[in-house]
Amino acid sequence: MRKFLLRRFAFLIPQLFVVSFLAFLLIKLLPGDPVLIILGPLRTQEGVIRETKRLGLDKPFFVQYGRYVERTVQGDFGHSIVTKQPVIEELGRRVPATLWLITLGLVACVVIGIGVGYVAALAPPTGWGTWLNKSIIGYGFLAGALPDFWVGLILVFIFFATLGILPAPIGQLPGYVPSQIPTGPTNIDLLDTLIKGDFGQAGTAFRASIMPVVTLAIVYAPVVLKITAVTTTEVFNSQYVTGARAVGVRRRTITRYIMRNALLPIVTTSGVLYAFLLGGAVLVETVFSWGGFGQYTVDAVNALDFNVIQGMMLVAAVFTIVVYLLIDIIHYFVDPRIRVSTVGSS
Amino acid sequence: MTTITWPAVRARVPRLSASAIWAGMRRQKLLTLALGILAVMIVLAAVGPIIAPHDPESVLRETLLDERGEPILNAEGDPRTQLVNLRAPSGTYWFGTDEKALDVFSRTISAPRVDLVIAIASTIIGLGAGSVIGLVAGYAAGRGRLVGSLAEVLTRFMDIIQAFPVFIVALALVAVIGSGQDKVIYVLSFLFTPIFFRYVRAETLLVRELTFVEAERAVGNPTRRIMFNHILPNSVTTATVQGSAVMGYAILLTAGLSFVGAGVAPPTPEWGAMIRSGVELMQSGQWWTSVFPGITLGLTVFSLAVIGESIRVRWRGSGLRGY
Repeated sequence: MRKFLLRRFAFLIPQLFVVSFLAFLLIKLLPGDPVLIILGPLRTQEGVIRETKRLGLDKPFFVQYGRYVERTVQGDFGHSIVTKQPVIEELGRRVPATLWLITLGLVACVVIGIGVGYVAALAPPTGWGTWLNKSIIGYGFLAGALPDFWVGLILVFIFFATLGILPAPIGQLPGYVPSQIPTGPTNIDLLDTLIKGDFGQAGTAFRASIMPVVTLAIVYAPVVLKITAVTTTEVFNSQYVTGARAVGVRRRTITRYIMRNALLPIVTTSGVLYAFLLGGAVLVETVFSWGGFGQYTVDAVNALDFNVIQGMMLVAAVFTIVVYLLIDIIHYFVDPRIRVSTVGSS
Repeated sequence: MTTITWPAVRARVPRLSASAIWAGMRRQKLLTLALGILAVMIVLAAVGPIIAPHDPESVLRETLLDERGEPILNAEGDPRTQLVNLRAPSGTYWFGTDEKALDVFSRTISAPRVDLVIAIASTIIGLGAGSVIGLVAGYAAGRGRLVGSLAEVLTRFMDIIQAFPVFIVALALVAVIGSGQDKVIYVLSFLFTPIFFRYVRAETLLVRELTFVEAERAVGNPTRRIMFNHILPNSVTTATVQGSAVMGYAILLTAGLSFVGAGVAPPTPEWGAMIRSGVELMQSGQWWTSVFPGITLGLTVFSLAVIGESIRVRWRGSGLRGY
């Protein structure tokens, strides 16, 4: 167990190095001289030279990279050109909101996906079972074809513009001015209002998160649904399940047998989806003015805010790497075969 | 001299009669629908802007009439006009007009020229680059010290590119090279290369061990000939099968980039940018600017996914692993 985790963690270090190198390289490729962007049009020759020296841009490429790694490890991601704020602080304020959104979205996808997928896989191949399976296939194609931001807009049109039962897509706490929004420990408005104990605000924040989460669920649940249906069908038709059924093992126990083996591909797919959602949420966040990582990214790209672009690339990649690490760890616990093979190889 | 006649080993090619096609269409309704939609989109990509009832990129104006139906003239004696903006769908403007007084229908049917061209071009470039690099990496894997490790580095590099969330890399790359139709094609080609790379590399690893490759080498074929003329045709199949799905993905990514203002900018007709132009309008109830381009985009990606899936199903069990 310790050995497996240690080895898996040791693998992180080269990954992080390469990822940070690519993020660094990308920014080096950006058009425009960062010094000129920082100093603006009213600059002097001496100022440019001084700033170039200060940023270390007169040093060789790899020395610059070394400095970048050194700063990054210490949590210094530089300052945003637009807001002049430290990038790490801005990320710290915005990333939690996005993580919250995509985590809720993922939970919705997994609950719907596993629930419906399991029922569909075990449904009789006649009557309603055929109908259910056909609709799932159709829904899967359709949901995969629709852009998530468009689905979000349709929800806004139906539930805000037409029916008026959900708040406008203007952030996590619509209807409150910035000074009324609590700055709590989590930087997630819904949780912060709950911590503060303001349930009126918390209710608004909850209602505001319905549409974005439902958007993610509508568009991405089929991913989990399909893999659940496929693997459950496969496992259900395997010999050990047939055997268990033949000797009259209870239905509940058989369900447990099936889930144990069907779970692995589902966990992997859900993890990949989770990592994907960080990128996918950019668009949904834009629709709902969520004020998270996604919108920050879009603004940074449009303003060529290089320190921010570098920081968000790093955050995105680290998030992906961590999710994949979690998948591996879950596999380790769910699948005893991995434990055996790890022991065998070491 | 005797001629050796081989026994006739002719594949039974089904005769394509009208009734056979009709029967096939009735059997595969979904696929037929998908092919129909795609055919319409391809035709629109060719002639969309030409057959559009209005110019997709220029604002619509109409002459103001007084109560007798006469044009109202301004001080110079010219008829006074106004912008035809935010009209609901009608007989004249089938999909309505947007805030800038552009005809939504004309723009929706002109957009395939932008979106479909981006999708097809980026998929082909990605497939080409991914195949060649995948072939080289697969063929060189585990051979010789330098070549083998170069192949290994290449493979790891492709893995790392895929460690970044696709849309965020796309955004960052657009920031580096700029936006516009051609730039989006480059960015997407770069992003698709690792996808195809993986398939071709994996297949190449299998094919290079087959007897016929050994025979090629034994009779003295140069390495390049073995790789490109003999291994490549046998290892691109699985990658090519993904082409249709990747094209659909390309359309979604293009629309997403344009939606946040980083892809193709207005007034060029593009579905994602059109949906964006209606974001505020959706909140005030004017749904047509965003809804129609979204449906058209969805139908296109849907048809590509269905076609891709039936190609995949057809290929399963045949091809290389079925040898």
